[in-house]
Amino acid sequence: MTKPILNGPILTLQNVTLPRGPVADLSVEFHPGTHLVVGPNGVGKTSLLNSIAGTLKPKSGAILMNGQSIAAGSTDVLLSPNAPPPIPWIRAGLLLEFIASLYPATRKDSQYQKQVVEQLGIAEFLNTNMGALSAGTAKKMLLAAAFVAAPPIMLFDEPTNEIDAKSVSVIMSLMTEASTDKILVITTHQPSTFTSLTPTILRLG
Amino acid sequence: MALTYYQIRSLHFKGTLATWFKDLNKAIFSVASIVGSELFVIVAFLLMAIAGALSLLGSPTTSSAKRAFIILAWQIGTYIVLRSLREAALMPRARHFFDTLPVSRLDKLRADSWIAIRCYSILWLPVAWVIGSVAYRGVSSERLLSLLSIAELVALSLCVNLLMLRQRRRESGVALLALAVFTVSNFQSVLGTCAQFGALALANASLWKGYEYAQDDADKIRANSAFVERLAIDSGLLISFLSNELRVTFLIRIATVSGSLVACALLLGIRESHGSAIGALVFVAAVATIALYSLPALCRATVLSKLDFVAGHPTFRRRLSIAAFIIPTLIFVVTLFIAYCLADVFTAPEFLFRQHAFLPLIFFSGTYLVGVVATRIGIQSATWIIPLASLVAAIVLSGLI
Repeated sequence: MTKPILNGPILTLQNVTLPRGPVADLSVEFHPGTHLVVGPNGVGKTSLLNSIAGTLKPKSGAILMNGQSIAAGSTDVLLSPNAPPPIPWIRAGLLLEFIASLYPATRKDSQYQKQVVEQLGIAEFLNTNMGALSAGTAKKMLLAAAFVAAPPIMLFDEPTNEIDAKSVSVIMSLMTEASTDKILVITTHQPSTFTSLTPTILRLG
Repeated sequence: MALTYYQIRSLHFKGTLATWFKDLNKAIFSVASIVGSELFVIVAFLLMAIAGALSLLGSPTTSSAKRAFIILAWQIGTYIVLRSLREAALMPRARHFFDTLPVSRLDKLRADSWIAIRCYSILWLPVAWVIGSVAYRGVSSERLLSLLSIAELVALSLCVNLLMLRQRRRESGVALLALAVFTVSNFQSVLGTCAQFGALALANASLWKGYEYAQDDADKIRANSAFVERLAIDSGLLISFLSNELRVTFLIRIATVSGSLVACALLLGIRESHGSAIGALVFVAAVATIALYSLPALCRATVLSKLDFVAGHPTFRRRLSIAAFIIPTLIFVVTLFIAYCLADVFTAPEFLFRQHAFLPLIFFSGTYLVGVVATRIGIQSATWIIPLASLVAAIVLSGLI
């Protein structure tokens, strides 16, 4: 279990019942560090992330950050989706820049952005349409945007699916770095991939 | 029975057009009922002008400059038509998938060509007119050459359009060169005739080559200028959506509004009277209201649904809401302003035009804003109340003032 860090963000779910799936009356507290959400397909893992991100309203319960309600769409939360958005015509670099621009308070500098993009091996694809990218490259683009935006709460929906082994190790090191002062909530079907991050595990279903 | 590739494309073509015009059918019927005979006259006038221009193409008395202008106008006009209908006509989004299937190059080329020909729609009327007039007046070698010139222009232009829309830069360049050769040569000399047939063969060969590879050349795209990208980001990507996902519906609305302004100018040019000036202003205001009131809600809903993973972010929602309101409203205001200026110019000074124009301007601006708010909060009945209110108001105000 990761050690809670004082003065960092605390994400609290109080008696949350999700609008989809069997999850009901869920109470849990997340501190800075890595937290895996595991469970079978359709149990509500993605719905949980969507509820925290403010894109899906829970049936009941409250989602709090540092004791305050996360108003629908907090500027402190970023969801990195499982699949790229269905806008294949958009230039990958523009999408990355757009996502990062929504987080001016925490956004990393351009040097860091360049470094992340190069580490993930996606620099050459910035001027390519999202629709022309492979599934793995498109996913790396969204992950890069999340690491550059760097808000206090980062939600990753199955981040290592379709990603090559070398890039997975890069993602692990970026997550390790981010988890020192941020809350990382990750849904996955392969918890063993994340053992190096010493995560807590929340089982649904 | 299994569908052929062409049948699949044809179904996609019809389905996409039906989707695009879904929200506009009421607007189109309303506009048609307001304008009635005047719209018919304007469209008929334009078609007759095109037919007249096409019949000049093969004539020995037509100057080179006039011939070049006719060819250029046809090329630009047909390209705009096909470009606007690209998603419906060429199914670009599904092309990567279909490229993996064993569909022959000939089948793809044939499907693209047939559907492009269907997209030309009423542009075939002037061509049919020229053919009909040749048949009516009797066949002569000069008239046959004229028909041959039109057929060659249509074929060459189709090659250019298909290649450009497939983003085949090299092959498009070759086809454009063939069109240029066609423009500068004519059937009056043996050399000119050979050059024209050579140009047609060249364009067709490049079209065939343009269908050789499955993938587009243009997966790599150039970044827009920093200013445009900044603008796109600050608009919650709405600018990007308007130039891609929402392009067709946006252009249809712009074309409807622009068409009403052109009709307004033509009407005032033909019938210069105080009643016509107010009538034209009311007509443009009604068309602009009907065409634009649902655009803010449509823009907002489309972008939010496509970027659902950031849809909860307040900065994104704020940027998007502002841009989705400002862009259509700016178009609405500019349209009304142009119509007002046009009507003011054509009105005699003793008529208190400004006083009389006040009521329709206030009414339609109010109706537009009510429509924007109603569609934003999801009042379904607004989709018939606003067009109906605009239509009734247009009739009443035109008669009243």
